[in-house]
Amino acid sequence: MTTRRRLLGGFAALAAAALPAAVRAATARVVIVGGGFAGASCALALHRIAPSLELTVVEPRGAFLTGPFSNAALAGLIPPERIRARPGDGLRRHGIRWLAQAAVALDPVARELRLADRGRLQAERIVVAPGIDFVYDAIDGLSAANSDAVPHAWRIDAQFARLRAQLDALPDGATVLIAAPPNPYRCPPGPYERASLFAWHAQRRGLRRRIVIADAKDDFSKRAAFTASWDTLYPGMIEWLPRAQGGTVVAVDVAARRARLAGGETVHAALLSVIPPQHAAAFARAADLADASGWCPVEPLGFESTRHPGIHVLGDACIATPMPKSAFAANNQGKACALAIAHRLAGETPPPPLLLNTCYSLLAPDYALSVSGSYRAVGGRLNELSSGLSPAHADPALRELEARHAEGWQAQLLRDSFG
Amino acid sequence: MLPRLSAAVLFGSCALAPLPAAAASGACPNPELSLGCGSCHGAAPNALPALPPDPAPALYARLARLRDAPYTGTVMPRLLASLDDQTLHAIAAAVACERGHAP
Repeated sequence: MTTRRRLLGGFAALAAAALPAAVRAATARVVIVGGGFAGASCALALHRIAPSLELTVVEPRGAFLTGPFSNAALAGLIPPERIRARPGDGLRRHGIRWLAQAAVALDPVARELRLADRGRLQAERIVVAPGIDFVYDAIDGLSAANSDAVPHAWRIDAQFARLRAQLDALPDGATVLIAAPPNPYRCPPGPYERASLFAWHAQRRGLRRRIVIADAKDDFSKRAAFTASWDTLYPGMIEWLPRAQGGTVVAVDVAARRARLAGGETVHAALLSVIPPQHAAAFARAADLADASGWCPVEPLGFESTRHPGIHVLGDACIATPMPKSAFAANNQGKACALAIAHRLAGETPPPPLLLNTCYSLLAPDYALSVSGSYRAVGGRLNELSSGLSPAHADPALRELEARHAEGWQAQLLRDSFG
Repeated sequence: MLPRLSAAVLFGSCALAPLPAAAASGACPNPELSLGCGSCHGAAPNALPALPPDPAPALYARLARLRDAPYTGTVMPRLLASLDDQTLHAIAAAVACERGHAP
């Protein structure tokens, strides 16, 4: 019964794809690298649209913590279990072949994948959804090896527990520094939601806390609504230092817990969460899928690489501007890619999908802000059709309504993506 | 209209109903327009309201009301803001078909 209802609610749209019988009976091989929001959505959609495809998902992790609401889990507002994805369970339940190992390399011309166990996989279409990596050396003194001491937890993973432990151990009157990265990066409102919920964490315990956001940018997602909300919820606790005021973190001393800012100021903090600049995951860059920007250019109908035909790049690794790098965008891209692959295998041009994005940020248990937009390919480029965000000033009832919507958004996005 | 409505009621109330013939055979129109709906609307705990099992004209009317709402405090008016009537009709037809109405 649960499965039935899930099918109707979550995947009905793609169960119903109006596709030629030839595609539904296609026997081509498709391999998906990465079982995050993009890869898992794509796999589940493709399995429904074209069940005869020989579909394989390569993802070493059976379970992992996901991004949406991860700041709420860090601050203790929700249990971490609520943000855990188990792509292996969902894939197996749907009878999709899952290889629980890492993809080591991709030959984008031969369309051949090399796996950690030295096995090789060839396919007519390969979908690459590997996420992001961090440019640690953009900040003096920071490295992959010592980043754990100033945890970003931006891939959640192991640094989640470290960051949560550091947060929970903060004494009264502590200073927290959050280094916000330059564009583009995963989850644009994330650093500001983190500052908000770290303030909530202190307020709830009756602790004084100074939270400095040292930013490599001069603007950020939902800024007017965030700053007005901070004045209401957490007066005097959160300071935003934009790039123009020297806010960019240029160096860190992880042992001494100090950050040097471009403006010359040195901030000593009990907790530093340094979110480094980002680029597409090494796997995609090594496969010649990224351009000089460090991200992967794609066409807007099915997110097929413009560098290597037959290879699709989804989610945070690809350049889907003006879509943000968000879980919701990745989920929509996964489904659009599945439709496009089915059409391409039938020798047809896929129709331009209507892509949506919605991101909620939780600032307190009963207080959320949202940003959303719709996108469609026009003239070979992805265009924003409409967008909007929560008003800068609003009745508390609206913020509370959005907080309830946020809970539903997070829960359904997880279920829709991972089955 | 009546047979379709009965089908919808049955479909909405009985979780074990078979897949609608149109959906099962892949005959629903414009799946590329409705792929974002299920990202929010579904059966997860606390989920936003499930997509209503309405026939296409009623779904179109709902979508048009949301698009034309003067109040943009929540998400749907923003997402629909620039979609024309023809596109809203197409989305409504896609969703109605997926929820069990004949295409």
